Amino acid sequence: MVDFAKELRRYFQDHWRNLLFGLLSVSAFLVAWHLYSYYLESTDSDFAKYVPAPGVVADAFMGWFSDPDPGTSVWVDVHVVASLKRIFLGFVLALAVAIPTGLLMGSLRMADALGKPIVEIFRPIPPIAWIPIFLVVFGNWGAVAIVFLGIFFPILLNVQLGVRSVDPVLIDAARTLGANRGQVFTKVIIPFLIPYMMTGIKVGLGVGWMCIVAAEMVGGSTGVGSLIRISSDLGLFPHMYAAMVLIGILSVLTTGVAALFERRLSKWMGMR
Amino acid sequence: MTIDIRGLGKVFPKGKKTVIAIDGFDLQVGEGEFVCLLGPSGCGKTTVLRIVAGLEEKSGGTVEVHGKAVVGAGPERGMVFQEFALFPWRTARRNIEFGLELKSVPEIERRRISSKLIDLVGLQGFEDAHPRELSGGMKQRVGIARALANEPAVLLMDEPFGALDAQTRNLMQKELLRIWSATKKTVLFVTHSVDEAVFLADRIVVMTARPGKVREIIPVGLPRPRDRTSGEFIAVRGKVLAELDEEFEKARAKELSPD
Repeated sequence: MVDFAKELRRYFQDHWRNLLFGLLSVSAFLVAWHLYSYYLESTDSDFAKYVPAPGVVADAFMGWFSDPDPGTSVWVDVHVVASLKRIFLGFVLALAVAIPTGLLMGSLRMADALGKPIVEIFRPIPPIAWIPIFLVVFGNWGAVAIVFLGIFFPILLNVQLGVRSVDPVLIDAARTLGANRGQVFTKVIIPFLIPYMMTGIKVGLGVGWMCIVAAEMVGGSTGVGSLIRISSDLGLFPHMYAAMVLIGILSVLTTGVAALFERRLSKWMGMR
Repeated sequence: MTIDIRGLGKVFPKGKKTVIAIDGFDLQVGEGEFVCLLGPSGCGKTTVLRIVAGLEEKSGGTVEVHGKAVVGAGPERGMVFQEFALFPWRTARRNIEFGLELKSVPEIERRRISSKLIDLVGLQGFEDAHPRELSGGMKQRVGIARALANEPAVLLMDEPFGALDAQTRNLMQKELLRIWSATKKTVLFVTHSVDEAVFLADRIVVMTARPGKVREIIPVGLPRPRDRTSGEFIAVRGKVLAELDEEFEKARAKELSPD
């Protein structure tokens, strides 16, 4: 704990200028928002209800801690858990498929020749474009499938790049030390790949949140995406904005967890 | 005979043509002997070493180590690389233990062996450092210890000090001789430095320009530790240099008029 406090103090000492400017820009934004909202209200604009003041949005957000959400009449953590679960499932499935595929396509020329056209055709299609059909075909799993698609390609491409970047002299060294093919794979290629995989995972997480919110906004009754849609349908605009803030926070948190995990991992592996 | 190479040949495809890299290379290395392979760049000295290591296929001839034909790489032939080739995610100790791990040597035994090697190569205090924290010289100490951990019959060294600065290089040459006399390994050492070869070797194999074969084998015959400034040292150096210069000229002539 002492270490942590020390680290925190050092962080402030090194970064207080950046923190100060960051605070300034956020405050300026909030003030501008507040003034605009106040202006709409004072001119009796029809638009006023669409732009609630930041304080009103904050009240809506804080309200979730004391009462169930008024629009969906469940506690907000039900939505958060629903979205996290989908992201997690899509994520695990994407890892399970993308890693072996990337390994194959990175190491076997034939696998690359077979897979590349498919990858190049489907990769540029935004995962969101699949929402209408996936929600029909996969039902409750539709959102998971969208997340899967969004996360799949960044991980696949990074694993493939990683396999191709393995320093051949490391494989030579392992072989002269007595490694067979399997051992070269588990003891050289896999450890070499881990940083590449982490890059894919971090990129994938960002895409994942985009996908999940979009999918939930189209269909379903739970999840933060649904929270946005239902709040807006019912005219609960403060709650709609609060849900947007919630997504921002959740996305920062998951990316933060991934970055922390990566730092731990690379520290443990001696890469940093 | 520890290493027995007869009529070794190596042909590379190069576009539609084939390049004869090595042709009729013969060499016998005795138990505990220190032999340097020296030659102009592109003469195939590294290829010879890689074939003995089993990292590359030969096109003709025979290669035997302790009477057994070489088929593929194996732990009985340890190799040390110019690029160090350490596993960056492993500490010095765990790099050294790599070969033992592959053989499923129990952890206590691994520890004991790696500790002994850490002492031998002078890595005390750096056991838990990762390669990126080590200087070039320290890295190569790990490389040597890692190759020795398998107790190989021969140690194959591919310009192991080529990436080091001159001072470190001289120090590492002395260190290698110390380690060599302590372990009594048979060493086949590739270098392009005449000075290094004369300082280290029992015998120096001067190779011809491509296609590479043995031009001459020069026994050094000086007692160790050798003094680089002594008259005898300079005399041997001069002799090796004269042989090598002719091959350099041939290699250069070939470069200027490609077939």
